[in-house]
Amino acid sequence: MDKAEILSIFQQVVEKPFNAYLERWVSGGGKICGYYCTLIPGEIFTAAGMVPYRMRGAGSEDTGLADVHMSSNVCTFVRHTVNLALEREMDFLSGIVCMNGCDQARRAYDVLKQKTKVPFHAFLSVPRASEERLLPWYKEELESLIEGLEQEFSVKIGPEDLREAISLHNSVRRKLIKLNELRKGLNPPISGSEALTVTVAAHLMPLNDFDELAGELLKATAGEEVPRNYRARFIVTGGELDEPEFLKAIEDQGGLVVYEDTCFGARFYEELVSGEGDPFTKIAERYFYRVPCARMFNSFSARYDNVEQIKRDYNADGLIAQRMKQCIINAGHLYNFTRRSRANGMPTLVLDREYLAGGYGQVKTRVQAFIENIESKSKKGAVR
Amino acid sequence: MTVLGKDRGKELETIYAGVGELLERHQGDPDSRAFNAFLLASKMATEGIVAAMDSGVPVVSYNLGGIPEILHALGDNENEVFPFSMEKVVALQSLVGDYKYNIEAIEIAEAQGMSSDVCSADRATLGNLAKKFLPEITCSVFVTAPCDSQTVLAESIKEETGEDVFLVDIPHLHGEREIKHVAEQLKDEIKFLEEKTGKKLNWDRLKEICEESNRMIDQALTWLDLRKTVPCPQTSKMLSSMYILLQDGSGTKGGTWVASEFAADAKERVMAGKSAAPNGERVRAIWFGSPTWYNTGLYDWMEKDLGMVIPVDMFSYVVPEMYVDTSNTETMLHDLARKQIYMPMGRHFTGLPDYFIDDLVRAARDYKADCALIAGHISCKHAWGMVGLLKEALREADIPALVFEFDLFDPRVAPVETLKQEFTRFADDIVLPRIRK
Ligand code: SF4
Ligand code: SF4
Repeated sequence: MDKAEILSIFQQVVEKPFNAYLERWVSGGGKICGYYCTLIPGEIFTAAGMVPYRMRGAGSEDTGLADVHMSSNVCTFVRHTVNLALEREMDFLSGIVCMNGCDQARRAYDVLKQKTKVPFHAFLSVPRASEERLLPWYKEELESLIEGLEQEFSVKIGPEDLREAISLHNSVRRKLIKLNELRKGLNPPISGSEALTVTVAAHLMPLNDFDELAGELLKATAGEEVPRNYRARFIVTGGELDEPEFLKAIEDQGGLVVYEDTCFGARFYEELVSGEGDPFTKIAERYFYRVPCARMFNSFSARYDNVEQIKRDYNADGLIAQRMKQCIINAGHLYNFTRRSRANGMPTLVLDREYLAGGYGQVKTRVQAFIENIESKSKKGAVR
Repeated sequence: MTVLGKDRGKELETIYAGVGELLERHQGDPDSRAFNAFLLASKMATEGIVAAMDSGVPVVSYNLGGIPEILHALGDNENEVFPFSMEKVVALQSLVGDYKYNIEAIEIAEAQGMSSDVCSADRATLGNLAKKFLPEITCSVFVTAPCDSQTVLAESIKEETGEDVFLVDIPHLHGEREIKHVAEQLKDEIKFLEEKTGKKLNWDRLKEICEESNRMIDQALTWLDLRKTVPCPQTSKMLSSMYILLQDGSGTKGGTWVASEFAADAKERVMAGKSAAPNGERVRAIWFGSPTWYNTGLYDWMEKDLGMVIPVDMFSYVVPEMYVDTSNTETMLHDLARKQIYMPMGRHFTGLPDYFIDDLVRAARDYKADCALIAGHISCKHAWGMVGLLKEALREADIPALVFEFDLFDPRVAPVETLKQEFTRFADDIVLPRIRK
């Protein structure tokens, strides 16, 4: 298969809540467990013989049902996702596992638990700081998730199952890291919107299938250079971002997105689970200590330093900090972030947006202005 | 004007002048005994802030959702450390000073890039920090309750001041396992505080402080019991100040005294057969959600014009689980952890929707309420996120409810006139016809 064919398969995977791979999996008697946040380890579902499925709202056209339960004062990512579930578009799930990622996502769980027919529900109370003193609590929460899955689905999740799951998930991570490395080049073989399509697909299909396709994609892109005529290279940062179209809108204006410091992006694949030692502990540690997201307190400097490092590694010109309107956690992150980045002279554009809003008229105008601003300050000249 | 002999900047001076004027206006008014006690406490709180600035004692900031007992017990003597909740200044500005300073502070925070989605209490605090009239802090201790806005504030305070923050993670559920987990964290918090402030926790003093806290809870529970009387004896606007008392005055003699004045006033009024509604009580409502601190005159209007009284609200929802067993250090830490989890607002907004719903339904029954007012502060996303489940539960319990949107510190979101119209319609069209039936 060539690159275009593989990308078009991934494109189909991300478009709607249910896709052909899941259909095949379910018709073969397989089970799928929905989860809601990157701090919930997918390895546990894989070890239980299930497909980990990151719940999201793609394919939703309306938030009417969710609005009845949650009002319009809640972020549109949550509302679209809940709406799909209330419309029974997620009835293919055998379980839903959520956590206190934010106040809005935890209320999504309350609604999903009471108002959907999905048989298994579990909730993790994940500490708000990646500090050693809190790790035992996180591990206990994961243990009770494992017990719950074992009971509900009559499976046993032993160390060997976890080891195998780690191996598969790491294999996927390695491929995504490799693919992302290609974006460091001057003329990367894949654009930002294509790269995001690939990582989002990894959240939504059996991982063995994904791993195989990702391997083929790496082969197809090996050594390839695509002249892109971009005017500036960007890192996109923030929380939820699973809309490749959003990145496309940026890229249509002459920006090239080279890295997604987001939940569906790098937070999913950066940092492997160590293959040494007790697999359960290693899984817990990888998720608990990885570069923290905005919900983790005492973490801002680590996040900021990480972005600075990426900016250097990927030779980026600026940062696009995007946030879902109503999202409080990322409001705080962006407040601190933009103040520090501007003080340090890092060009930063903040974009508040709605999920699945389409059009992106305002985004385009603001990105245009941002690029012009960077160009006018750049000594390098305008077009590369 | 000066506060404790020095100029202090317009913000603190306005609070001080405001509380002084109110005290003067209401002095000797027999209907204002409880309110006067609160005013006196506000005056003392303002003096406390400036005294801490002058004395140079370590100032430890803690958040709106926190409690101060452990902070008070640092050092062998009283006042060796000053526990300081920055949001208290915002509340005082609104209640006794001039709310326009809060708006000014909110605008500063927004101009610095803070989104208006974040709670106005926290935006105004960030604005106040930028204005640099608050005491400089040594360190902070924050709890992850009641909401995301509080964690945002914690991280921003750390970034702004450069001083370390210890975080107590409040888990999702409120059971024994969770209480023990918080109690363990309190041990780490104490180590952190001792290191940062250079003051050792004095366990004998902590015992005395917890005993004092218990006396406040005694008074608060007596007071709430008296407020169950029909007609409701005492004005509604007192209710939310119980939260400030718990959060700021727990473990202090002043705090206990104010609570005892609340109770004594309620008792006096019950004995005299007085009603909070001057023209007669027509509707009893439970107010759940944040108060309209930008305009407490709304409560007076409700009582006078609608005959609508609020016997209890969410901020005053004190429960016996807030007592601390002072038998030994372990029982104290355990019960302080439980008290922390059971603080109003945190108790209601973290965890299961049932924590909120059950208290509300129980309050409606215990206080013989005709309806509920669900005060939807715009940033309380946890509350908005369960509004459908809440409405369903209230329908099932046959409690008519009005859900309204506003901002507790910012009148621009919903001016008081809009709320008045909504309340009037609700009372006239929904509640009163039901009562008449
Ligand atoms: S975008 Fe923000 S508010 Fe929405 S689910 Fe994510 S963290 Fe929560
Ligand atoms: S009023 Fe709501 S948003 Fe503000 S601090 Fe309280 S719980 Fe948080």
